[in-house]
Amino acid sequence: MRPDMVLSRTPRGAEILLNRGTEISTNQRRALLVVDGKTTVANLEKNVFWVTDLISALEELYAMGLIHDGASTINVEAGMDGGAGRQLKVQLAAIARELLGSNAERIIKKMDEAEGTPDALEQVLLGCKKLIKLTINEELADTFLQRGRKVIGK
Amino acid sequence: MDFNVTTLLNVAAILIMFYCLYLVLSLKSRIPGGMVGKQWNFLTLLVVLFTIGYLTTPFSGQLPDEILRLVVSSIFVFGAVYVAVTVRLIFNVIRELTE
Repeated sequence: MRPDMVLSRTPRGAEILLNRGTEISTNQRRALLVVDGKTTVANLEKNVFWVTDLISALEELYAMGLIHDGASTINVEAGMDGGAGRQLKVQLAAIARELLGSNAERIIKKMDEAEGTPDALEQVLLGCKKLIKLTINEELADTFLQRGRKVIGK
Repeated sequence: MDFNVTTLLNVAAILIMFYCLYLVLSLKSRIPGGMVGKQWNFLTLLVVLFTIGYLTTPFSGQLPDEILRLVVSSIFVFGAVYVAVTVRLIFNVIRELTE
């Protein structure tokens, strides 16, 4: 599990947490509780002292499909849909992660919400470039746009 | 009456400045860098400075006139810098979004 990953609960994970189901152990429940869709694995590891062997617990929850990260959601959906648009989004998400690390989540979310056509993705890339330039890193914004355009063939 | 109005204004100013401090600090984690992120650090510094300055206003009556005038002038200067940085930031954001 990469330290820069930001994990979120899947609908099933949220349901188990609400229903207090017996499918998971107390330690796994504690780990599931701290997954908030904002904090990186590295920060969770640093701050959450009340969960025994947090990384193992998170890996177990991940394997059970109770938590996910942004990129894997796209991967799963791409596998299910098999659509070209989804495949493009997976590649764009990988570029965002490579360039922006833990700050890529907002960008991946924006791309995930867009249509899968090259034209729609180009518009999203332009929007993402502006967002990156304004709030993440001025230098990486153009690199992201250029590499993204290559992926969608524009 | 004058004293009450002055105190009331001072308290209001301090409360508003604490609210500003809360806003700049809570937004800071969501702007790790970029054009806004760079300016945000400077704006945060100015808000911290203003908060400290505002907190001292209840004691301004005890200061000599000379020092008091210097403090007021400093607040004016930093206020002008704050406005300039904010306006330039808005200008850059709008320019970036309309490109």
